[in-house]
Amino acid sequence: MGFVDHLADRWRTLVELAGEHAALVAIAVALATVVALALAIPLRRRPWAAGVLVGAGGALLAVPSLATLGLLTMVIDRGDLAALIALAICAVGPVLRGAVTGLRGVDPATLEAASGAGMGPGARLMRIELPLAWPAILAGMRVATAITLGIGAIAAVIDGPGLGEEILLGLSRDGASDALDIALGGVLGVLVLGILFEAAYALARRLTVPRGIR
Amino acid sequence: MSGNGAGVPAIRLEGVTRTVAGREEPVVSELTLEVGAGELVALAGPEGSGKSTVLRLVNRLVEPTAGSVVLGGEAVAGIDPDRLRRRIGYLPPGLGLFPHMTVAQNVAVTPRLLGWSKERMDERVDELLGLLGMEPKADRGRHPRELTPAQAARVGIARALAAEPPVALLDDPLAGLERTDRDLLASRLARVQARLRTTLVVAMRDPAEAAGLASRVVVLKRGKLVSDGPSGRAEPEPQTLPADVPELGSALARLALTHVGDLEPGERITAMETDPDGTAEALRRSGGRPVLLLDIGGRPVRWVRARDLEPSEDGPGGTAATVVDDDVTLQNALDAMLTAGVGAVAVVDETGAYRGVLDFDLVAAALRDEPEEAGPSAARRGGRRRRRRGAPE
Repeated sequence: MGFVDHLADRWRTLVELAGEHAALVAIAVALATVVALALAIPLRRRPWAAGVLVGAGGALLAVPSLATLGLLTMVIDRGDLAALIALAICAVGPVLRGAVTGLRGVDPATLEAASGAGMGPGARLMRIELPLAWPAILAGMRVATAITLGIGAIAAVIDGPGLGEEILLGLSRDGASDALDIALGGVLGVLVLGILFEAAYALARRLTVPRGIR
Repeated sequence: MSGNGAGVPAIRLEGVTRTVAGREEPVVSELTLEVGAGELVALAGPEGSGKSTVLRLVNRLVEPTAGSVVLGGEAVAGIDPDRLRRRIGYLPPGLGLFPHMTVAQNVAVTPRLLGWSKERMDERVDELLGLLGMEPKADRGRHPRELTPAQAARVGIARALAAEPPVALLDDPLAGLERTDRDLLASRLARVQARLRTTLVVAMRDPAEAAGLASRVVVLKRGKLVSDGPSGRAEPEPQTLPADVPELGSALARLALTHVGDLEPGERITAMETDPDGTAEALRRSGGRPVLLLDIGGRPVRWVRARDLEPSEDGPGGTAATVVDDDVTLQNALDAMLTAGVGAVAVVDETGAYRGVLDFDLVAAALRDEPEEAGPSAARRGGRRRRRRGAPE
């Protein structure tokens, strides 16, 4: 049985797993974005904060993802939630970097003009700072998505959802005639998801970044 | 203190001092200054003289350490900062245009905060862009990065004036522009101010240039007031003016107050840039003096002498023509002549088309209040010096 036949055979399963995988990644990145903004916005005027936040985000990424997953299972039961939290932790770093860079990159003259025009801190954040930082935040989310797509495949070791199940299944059937096909099917699914997410980000950028700064 | 009656100054600083941590000398030191309603005042001084701080004290972007700032009879310390700032136009140094917004959105930012209707905002945006010499229809939808520096400065000024503020503060709006653009915009700004009757305080570095904009120049140095008066009395920057202008003093004052449009420009031999035969013929007729080449639109391009027509590897020879229009002060026109290397500047109309030439003799004649002579006049400074020696006034 060739790989193409295998895919035709397991089509439904793969699509279902890919859906889970995509949802896992999307929710993790969304959570990470909320956390990153909650940290970056209040600290955007503190010079020390940029280094600390970006450094901490990078350090989280440096912890091997397998270790993150394993350690988490000591606190939370194995399963979907643990996988989601692990992925969100990995995703915070890149989004945080983007948010800090974007918010701190707003020209001080622009901020002064906004204040001078009579905008309060809230209006200034919503109308000036976040829109101007948005391309950098979006870029951070894109990197975070690429990373968590890969780590998501490992989440199966703690009974997480997604294409990792298929890859793990293939690897566990070492020696069987269809072992390679099964694992490759899972990997192919991750690749296709990666392309789809990239396309989604390109579209989101077109739709949400104002023309003046695109 | 209350009321907005006649005689109440639009802005009054009373013994204002502002110190900052880590700096021994105050940024602004016991400054008392009054600006009348509808007045145009230039605030001049070098970097660190405190002029930016003075502006920011008025709209409470910074607070005084001592003294008080009074706006139309009302102490600003008692007004909510955001409400206060919606009543005061402000342009920060560097303009600070909002890059993600269109020109129209930039200009209308304060009117939007004040809840103006869309029709009223659109009307005001078009009015201001038009007054400042932009094309409302074509320019309102553009973004800041698509603008030239001169256009960006215009948008910044329009934004500061958009909400019809009684008082507007512009912090070095002409910084970074080329001289011709600065001159054009300064005179345009003066006319807009005269029309809108906004109390306008403009910070600039160079007192001489400030004198070209405002009839009252306040000069600051290290946070203290060093001179305050009509621009004719403000100390000019010596290096920007020639040493041999007749009657330094009152004539100098006239340089800053007289505009190119007040003079009848002289005539020069011109030729079309695209017509080498015509250029050669013009050079024969000019008797060794440079000939002004025009492009197909009739706009001055460069000055050439006979030697510039010889083929060269450096491309077309000659000297790029400096142009001025009616709104440029004689002081700046003279400055341009001195640096242009030809001793003359081309006068253009609103479309940039050639209208005539201004040289040292015409300027000197205007300063002496002599009736201007028609026809070509000697261009070189040497020629003028000789004549002045021969015919002392």
